[in-house]
Amino acid sequence: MGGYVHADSLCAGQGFPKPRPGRSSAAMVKVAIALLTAVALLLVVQIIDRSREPAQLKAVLDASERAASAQERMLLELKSLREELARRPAAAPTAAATASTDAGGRRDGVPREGGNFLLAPDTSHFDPAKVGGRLVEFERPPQSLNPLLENLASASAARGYMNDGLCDSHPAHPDLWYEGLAESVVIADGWRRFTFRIRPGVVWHRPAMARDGRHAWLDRDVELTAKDFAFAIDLIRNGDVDCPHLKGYYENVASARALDDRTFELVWKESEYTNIDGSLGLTPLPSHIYGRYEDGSEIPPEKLGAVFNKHWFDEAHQFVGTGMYMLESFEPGKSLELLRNPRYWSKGLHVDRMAWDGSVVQPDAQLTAFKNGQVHFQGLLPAQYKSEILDGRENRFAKPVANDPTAGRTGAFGWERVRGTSYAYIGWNMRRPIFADQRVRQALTLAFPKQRIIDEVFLGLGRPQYGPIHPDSPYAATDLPRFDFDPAVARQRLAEAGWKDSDGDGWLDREIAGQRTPLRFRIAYYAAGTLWQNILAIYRDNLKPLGIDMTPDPIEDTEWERRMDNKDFDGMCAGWQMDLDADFVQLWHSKGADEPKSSNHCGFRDQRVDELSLQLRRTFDRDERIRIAREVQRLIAEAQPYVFIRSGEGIFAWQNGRSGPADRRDLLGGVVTGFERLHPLRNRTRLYWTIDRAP
Amino acid sequence: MPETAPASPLALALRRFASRRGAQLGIALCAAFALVALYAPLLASDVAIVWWDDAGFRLPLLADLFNRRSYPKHHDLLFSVAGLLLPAIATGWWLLRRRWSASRRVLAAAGLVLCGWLLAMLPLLPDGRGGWQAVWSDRPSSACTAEAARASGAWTIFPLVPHRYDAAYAGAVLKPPGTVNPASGRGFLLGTDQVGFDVFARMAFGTRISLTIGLLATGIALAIGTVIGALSGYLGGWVDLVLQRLVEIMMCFPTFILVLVVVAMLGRDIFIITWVLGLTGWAGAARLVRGEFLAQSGRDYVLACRAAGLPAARIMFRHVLPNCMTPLLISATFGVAGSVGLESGLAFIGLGDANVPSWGMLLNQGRENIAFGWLIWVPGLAVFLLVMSLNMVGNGLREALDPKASP
Amino acid sequence: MWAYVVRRLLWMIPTFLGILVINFAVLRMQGPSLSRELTKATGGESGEMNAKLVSSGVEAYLVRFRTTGLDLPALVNLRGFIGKDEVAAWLRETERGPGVDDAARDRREKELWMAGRFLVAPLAAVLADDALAKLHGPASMALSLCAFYPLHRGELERMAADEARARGERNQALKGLRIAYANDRGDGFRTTDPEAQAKRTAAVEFAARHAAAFAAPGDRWRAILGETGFTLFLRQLATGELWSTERQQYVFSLIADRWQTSFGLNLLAILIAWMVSIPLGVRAARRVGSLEERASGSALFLLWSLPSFFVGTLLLHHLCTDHPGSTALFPNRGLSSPDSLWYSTPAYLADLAWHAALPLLVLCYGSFTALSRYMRASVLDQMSSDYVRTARAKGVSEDAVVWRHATRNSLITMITLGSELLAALFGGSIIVEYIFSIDGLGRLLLEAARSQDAPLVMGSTVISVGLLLVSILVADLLYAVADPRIRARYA
Repeated sequence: MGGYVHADSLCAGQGFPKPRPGRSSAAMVKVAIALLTAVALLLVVQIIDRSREPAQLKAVLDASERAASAQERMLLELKSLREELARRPAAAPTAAATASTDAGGRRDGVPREGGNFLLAPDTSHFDPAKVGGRLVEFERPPQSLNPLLENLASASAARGYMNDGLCDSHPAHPDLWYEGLAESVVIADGWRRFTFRIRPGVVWHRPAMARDGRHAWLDRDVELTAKDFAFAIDLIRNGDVDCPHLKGYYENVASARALDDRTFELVWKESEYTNIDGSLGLTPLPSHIYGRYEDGSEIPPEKLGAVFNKHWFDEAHQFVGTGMYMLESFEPGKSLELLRNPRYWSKGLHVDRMAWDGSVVQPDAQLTAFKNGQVHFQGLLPAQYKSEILDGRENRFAKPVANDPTAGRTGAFGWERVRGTSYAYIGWNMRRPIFADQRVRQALTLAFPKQRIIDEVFLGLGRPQYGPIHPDSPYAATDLPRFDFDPAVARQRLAEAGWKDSDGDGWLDREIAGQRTPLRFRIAYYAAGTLWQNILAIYRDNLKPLGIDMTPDPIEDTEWERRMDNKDFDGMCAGWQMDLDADFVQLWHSKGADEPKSSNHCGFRDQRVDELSLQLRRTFDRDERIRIAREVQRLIAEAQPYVFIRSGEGIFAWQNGRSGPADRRDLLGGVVTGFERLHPLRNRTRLYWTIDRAP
Repeated sequence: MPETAPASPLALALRRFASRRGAQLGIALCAAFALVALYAPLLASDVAIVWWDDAGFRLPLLADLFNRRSYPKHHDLLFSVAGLLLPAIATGWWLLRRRWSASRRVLAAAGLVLCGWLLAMLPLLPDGRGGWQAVWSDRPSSACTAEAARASGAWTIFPLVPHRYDAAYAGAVLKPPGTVNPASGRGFLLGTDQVGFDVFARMAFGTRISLTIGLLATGIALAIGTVIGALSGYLGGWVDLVLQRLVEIMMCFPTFILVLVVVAMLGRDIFIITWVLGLTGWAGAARLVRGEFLAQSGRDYVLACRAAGLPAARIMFRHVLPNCMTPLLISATFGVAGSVGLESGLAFIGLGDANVPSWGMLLNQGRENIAFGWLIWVPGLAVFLLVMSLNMVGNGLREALDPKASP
Repeated sequence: MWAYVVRRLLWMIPTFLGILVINFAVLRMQGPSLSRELTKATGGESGEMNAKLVSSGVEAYLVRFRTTGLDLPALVNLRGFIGKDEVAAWLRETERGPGVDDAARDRREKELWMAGRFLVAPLAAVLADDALAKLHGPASMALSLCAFYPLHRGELERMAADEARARGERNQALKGLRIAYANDRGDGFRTTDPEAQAKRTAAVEFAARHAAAFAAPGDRWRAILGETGFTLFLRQLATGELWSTERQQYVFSLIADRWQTSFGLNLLAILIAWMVSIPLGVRAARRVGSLEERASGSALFLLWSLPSFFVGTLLLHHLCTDHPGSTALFPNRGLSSPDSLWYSTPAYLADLAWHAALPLLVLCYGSFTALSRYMRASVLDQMSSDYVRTARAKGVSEDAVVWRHATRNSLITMITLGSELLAALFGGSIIVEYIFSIDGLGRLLLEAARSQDAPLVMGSTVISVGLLLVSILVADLLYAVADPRIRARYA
């Protein structure tokens, strides 16, 4: 009866007479509703106040004040920089750099042994009059910016804005190198010993956390030294550090030493062409931060590796580099804000602030936000390109004009087609008897309507690909056999290979190992890739009349890797990110054909290709390299282990004059781009301003 | 079961049900969807229904229905067989109306369809070379397409839209409704999608998918729910206690979240989705059945059965269960509607099966770009109409069968 | 009353445990695969992988799996009882060759590598046995991985410097024990050269020296239930140490950022649904059979059948997108403007309401129908009851009868309905958060499920179900408070 007593007292308190069922429950309901409403309101208030708590608010205010003062300071410095630039003659930087060259050096940017060959940094894109503004785009920041542990494309892109390598390569000419943090480099000992001269006076950024009072020891200028490079190599090679993707590149390093503060020496065990990339593209790691605990004391060497894996600096979401932008704020997976580094040793880009916003992921919501002016840059999907630009649904985009690639730049929303470096392909499992015959593979390519698929699935974005090298690469061969769409020839090839419909069931068949085998197979594709789904639907339609029974086979993420690793597929759809460089060992050398987890998943083997690809690795002469690379491409194209489909192109759109400068393209200097995002070349991060001027 | 005497409560209820305008509309819409599902090939196929030329009179579409190249999925065959048998079933229904009860006729019809389906999958027809071959075969479909008809000058009747649901038409990507297809000379009634598929054809065949998922998932859920609810209600005691925990767990778990996680983990095959929907959706039915069993178990007839020494299983499923059928029927109707909605919701957030022409996949394409409005309006409205009509039927049933709710 | 509360709370424990089990089972059905982890560790996004990196990638993979317990058996750990013969048989199964099922072989190899400390001794026994020379290569690889001890920063900090160094050295030493082999040829396992022999003796010695660290006496019995994936999951859940490897963050801190958004949104949606549908239902009950009642009933019915993703998408595109010459009526994403921090509180609230309007609408319109129908039925029920008749006879005005008597008593049913509604809304908020780009629990869960981030899925499901259980409890308690009969049953 305890419950009743309790209820009575409650009722009595509210002045009710004797509790009658109807009355009492009504009162209870009142209390109940009041309670529930109170809980709900409390929650709502909680939500409202979540970001408005006094302490937090104060922190935000402080941060913005700091940012404001930092910006002010920066603008002052920029002003003086601009004035100085205006005074200087245009050719001055180059001349100054040439003066510091070691005697007798030919500085043409082409790596060679002996003297320094680096070109002076190319800053001709820079126009001080165009500096300013803040740029926002939808790009999901990575979870961490750690230079060794996080290898997502978005992380390396962000780091590319904030840190520099020893040298920079030309994006369109992979074997032209510019000065970066190194003023000069000398290669010796048969391409094994690289000696760099580090640029003086380059200072590490001061992390934002240095201003919070608790990390006062960080609030000072630290100059970049050769030690920071040796430190990076040491950590990469440290067994406890969790960076296997880098360990592979630097496995061959014999030693990495700082000879003095400004001289860094890297020695490789073997003489291979890949040493050039590995050495010249190296980025430094701030030893004054990663070598210390949070209180500023040194980490003992034996603990270094393990501590580095979960370093306090990363957990505080900080990053420092020597590059043109400093990290202002970073919320993993959510947002990233960069601020111009006023003390940058070179010129950098025009825009003062850059922000990445990771809160919107669906393409339609992104486009809506772009139209509402919330972001300045946006890549468009093929279907969006069609509806917004080609069909003219959004009249703020300029209409495309035949033969004028710049026509799109003039609308309220500017847009431009930009090239990427990936190519899409369908690979055949050559261990399967039906794909063992070269003629069958050629027929399968002949039955693939490449142009129709580029026109309809990609709405014209992309160029047909015929071989394994990017068409823009200097190594690309132009005279490859093409096997363009031709069902009649395809049928003829199949007949030559012995495939005919012998039992009248409509599907081609052939005797294989005493067994009548129909030409029936599945093509695996990654289930999330809707474009693949469309491509295969069209391909299937074209294979049916030839008597080939193909079934698209969507595979989930987890299953995909297992199937690829075990070579458990007939055909598979995928894409490679290409380097403009040429190296065929990873993908085409026969040693990977039977290895369970190799990149040669199609099981391609060709003795001549094996020889040539190894020879290419040992060849340093450019013309000779081009000759070898072209021969390998011809061999591969003839064998058609893949149906090469298209090399990528994308539509990049930007706001013209909605906020800030009239032409947003100027913010990045000359060319639109975000090219980088479509173009994540390994080790090359600063592409946007050179690509347009590629010869 | 009571005979169809004029005064039986069931007949009264059915009469009440049939007199409601909402229920009538719902039944009509449901029937329309069912007809679309059954006769989808008559609505959209590139094979002629009738072909009359010098060589004689032929029905190419009929042969095409049993061609595995054209209709590779089993449910297609099931629908085709059911569609062919439907006239026979309707005649039988009418002829037997005085002799057989409604439930027997329903069973007979279902049995007929199943037998036809099984028969169609057996090797039965001579293949012309002295052997036998499956009716459901791989034989290349006859070339009785619109182009062939124009070339040969035959007298033909074509389906409403002479387009296949699985053919990607060249030069027809994302065309708005009404655009003429140069290949067939006829228009795309509801436009095309990103591949060049005819949306109308895909919608017609998608009806089959939606109905299959809805019915199958609900069937699975009902079967599980009934068994668990019956056991828990009839046996009581610790069995009830344990099973009630299970039911509570399933009730607490937001279904959509569970389905989402399982589908993301196991893959987005339509078969998996159906099973997951069935395996997660049984809690409501179990609760319902348990309640009914609790109410019924004290009744005299149950006591009489017990006294007569009938085994528990027999009492439960032969005697008590038929008395719980009405609420189950109502919840099944809502269950089908729920499953259809859930499946399209899944496809909408990108977890649908890409290899079947389901409405959800069209919606998923439409979501990415609203500019192609027909890709979202057409399947969105279809989901809406199907869900609404099922809800109307369920609602009508509930009102008709619940004496308290009658006005 | 308290008896009821306690009883209710006790009943929640098995329910919650059951939910944990289901959760765990679903995620165990398909954990991340070895090859996927390796690819991620060695090649990054493009899926490129360099075979020679695999061996260095395995350790990274081990570290990841040991933090999530995916290397442990799900419920029962019998690894302590594996003997030398069994291990030898396993090793034979990892041989590649014609007629070998690659998938099964890979599974076995993974099992061997993941098996952990208990296998060190039997593997050493295999290495010590000359008759099994063919298996020495893979055995040494497995041994070095089973004995590998992943070092965490937290552990390191607690450890003395000497011990940390010893651990690190041990891990380094382990790599030196691997005998090179190729398991794709029948004869590739044999290792007779002196270097391999030296490694082999070193491995045996190593196992003998550290025997106590790998399997102390009695450990295998304790491990049967204590060292399983499920217990680890429970432990991590209890201590808040669930770690999302995909997002490199503690699961609970990810959730703490977001649960309020989802929960607040859902709760507000319920409140709105109640506030709209209670008057609607009462009004309908008072005008049964009128044209107005039937019209509003049909309209609500149509609304009920409208799929929320359809409505949400249409709203987003027609009300939230700028068109040439006109700006959007509502914001297209989030719950507040980017610079809303600087608004005054009223302005901030207005901003919030402006942002939340459409999401709330989409969330709650579907529940109007059911709620108002229940309300209508319940009010009708009450209107025909004795006390209402008495009240009418006493001359109480009709309004007072309806609002003060019938409606109040009908509200009891609404409370219980509220809790069930919440379960439905939680699912619905995934779609709403997805469409309107709101950073809530639903979107987090969706993204976690997509990227198969098991710890995050587990954590966020457990939390959202936990919230749900609590709210159901609250509703039940309110119900008990309101209805003396329930209290009487537990008094």
